[in-house]
Amino acid sequence: MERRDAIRSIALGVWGMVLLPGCDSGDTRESEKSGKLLAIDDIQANNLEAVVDTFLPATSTKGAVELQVDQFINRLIANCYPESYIEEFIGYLDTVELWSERAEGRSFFLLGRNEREQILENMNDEEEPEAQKAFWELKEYCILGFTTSEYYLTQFTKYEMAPGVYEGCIPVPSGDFLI
Amino acid sequence: MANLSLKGKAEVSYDAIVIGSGISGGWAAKELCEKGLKTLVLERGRDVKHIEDYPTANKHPWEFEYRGKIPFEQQQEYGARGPRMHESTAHFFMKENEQETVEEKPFRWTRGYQVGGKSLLWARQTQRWSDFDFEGPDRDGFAVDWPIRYKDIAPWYSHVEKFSGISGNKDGIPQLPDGEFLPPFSLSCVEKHFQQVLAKHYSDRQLIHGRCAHITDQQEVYKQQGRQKCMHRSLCNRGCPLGGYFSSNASTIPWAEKTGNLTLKPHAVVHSIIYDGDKGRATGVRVLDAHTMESRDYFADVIFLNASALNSNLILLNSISSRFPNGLGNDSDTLGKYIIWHNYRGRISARCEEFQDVMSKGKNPSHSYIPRFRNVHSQETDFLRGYAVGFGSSSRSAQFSREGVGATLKANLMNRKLGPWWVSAWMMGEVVPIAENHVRLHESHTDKYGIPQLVLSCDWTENDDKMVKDYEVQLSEMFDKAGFKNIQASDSHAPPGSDIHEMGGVRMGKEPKTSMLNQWNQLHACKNVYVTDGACMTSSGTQNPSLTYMAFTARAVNHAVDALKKGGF
Repeated sequence: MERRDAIRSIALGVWGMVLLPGCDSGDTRESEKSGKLLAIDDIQANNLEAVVDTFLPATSTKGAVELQVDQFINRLIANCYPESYIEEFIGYLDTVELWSERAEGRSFFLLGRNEREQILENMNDEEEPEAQKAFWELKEYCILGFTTSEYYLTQFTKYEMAPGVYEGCIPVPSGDFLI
Repeated sequence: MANLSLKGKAEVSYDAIVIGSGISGGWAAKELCEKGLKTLVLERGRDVKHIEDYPTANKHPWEFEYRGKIPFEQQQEYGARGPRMHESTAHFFMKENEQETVEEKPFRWTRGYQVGGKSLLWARQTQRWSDFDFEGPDRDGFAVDWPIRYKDIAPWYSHVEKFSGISGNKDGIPQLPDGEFLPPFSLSCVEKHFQQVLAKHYSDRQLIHGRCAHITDQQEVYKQQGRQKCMHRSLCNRGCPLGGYFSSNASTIPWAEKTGNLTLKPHAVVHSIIYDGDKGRATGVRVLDAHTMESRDYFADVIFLNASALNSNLILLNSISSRFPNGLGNDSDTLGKYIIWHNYRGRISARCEEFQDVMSKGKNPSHSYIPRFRNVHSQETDFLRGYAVGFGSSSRSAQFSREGVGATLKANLMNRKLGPWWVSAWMMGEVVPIAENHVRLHESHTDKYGIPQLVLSCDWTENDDKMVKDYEVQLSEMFDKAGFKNIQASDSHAPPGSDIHEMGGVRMGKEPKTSMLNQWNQLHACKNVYVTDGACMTSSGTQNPSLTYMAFTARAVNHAVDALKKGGF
């Protein structure tokens, strides 16, 4: 058991329901984690980061690259899927590169944000099933990584590990509230 | 009862041996130790200590490296279930190579081989049986008559409920007797609505609060166990550091340990029960060390078999002697036969478009329940028996749009809206036992311990198919009357065992000629062996079965200790 887990367990056991959200930010850098990485070349790796950045850029709030979603996707695919799917996934990155070369004559990651967005949006085309599949698969991994991040869950949702209650029927509050 | 048997046996002799530490084995251990018996609990898996061996209990979603998925190599260890295993609980499920089986017909056998067994993983729903269940086989002409009735078990239900902590509402429904209840979890607006719709349109159908093994009101008996009120984490199957729900790990095992009478031996794979023909009783248990494969015998005056239903069958089938060449206590040739489970094939889901001005708060670790309403008082359909229904509509989902690229997409993800109330219900049908649905030892295939592999040979019958159809029709009608939209009923056609309620094979009955166990859960032909897990079930009922195993166990221990006091078996 990790030390931090042990501390939390003791806190729970001795003092009852105690949430200690501050003492564990789960902020191990993705690059420090164990497990395999995808066997991809620099262009593919740069394109993965660029795809993540294009789908979910930094705005007034943090972007997906800052949340290391590209590295999460890399490790998820490399460690949790069979070889056949890993190849398929790398193919999605190659499809992005192909569309970039065809439209702009350069690698995807070298393009400006507007060009990158345009390429991804063009790929989402029913007439182009292969490109559309790559678009949605890559997009879904970006959404998964972003919406399960600590930043998203704690800042933009009503995340509670131990709410302590269940009330089955209360009025919907007026105004803004977290869901 | 003292350890005074043959020299050399003393160190491995106990008053009682319990095989298995799951929900019923834990109860056997607690009751035996409390009554002063030196008790050895044999558990084939590893130890899982309350709190300290729940490695994921306090992990946030983002702390799972792959957000819950487990690495591909690990997935392979769980066979077909692999891709669905979640990192938060995978360590409590058995890996395939631990105990290989032969599926003569498709069967999903879920095992949790560790201290606490599947009591860490159960759905925690706890309903009592009634005489409508105990009298079922006799009334409808299947299996054999149960040797007991509700009045025999009722006080023992109370006994285990008070200690375990069962929340529920007293509903006064004859086919689902009330128990010793802590306050129930509340119903959602949609559940209350459905309750009223059923009350208005049907005289035989009620929606009630789920009855579940969660502490909803702190009392002295739970404090003494070191357990606390459920805090609605709804992360139960990771192990609850609060002991908010009942498990062997949080409750019965530490309780037994406190008496000083418990010896808990993990990594002890039971090979067989040793029968002494001269003495006319079982004398001990043969065990293989899971690491060294060394064989060792342990001896005791009384043995409780609580290895989980099918594994208890396997152990008895593998307990061969000249007196019992076909398995211990198997004079009736019924051992391994009449395997039953619950029919969870029928599913239905829908959307409720009303109640847009209300929502829920917090999390509900339970759900609501509709007791069996088919064929209760008399036979009224073209199939035997009936089904209970689990019903869930606890909360409104959060919704966000997945459209767009860039800032648009990001804004969409952060613009979460309250979604509709989704409703779903699942059937829990009684499966009528037949001899053909059986398990047996394979003639040549063995597992890694050299123990014969279990052949699983169970299938649905026409009765089950008809019941699923009826469920689809009835629930669709009930949902329609409630105004639910987009109603979708279907038959999952999942194989037997998917319910994780496998039962039978060592059934209770009045006659030694047609059953394995008597009214006290003793083997008719070997009275110092008690079987009180799911294997003892003569029929399946529609209730979630664990509570009944607990009650059977406490009752049987009481009987065994009385018998020992009176001079033994």
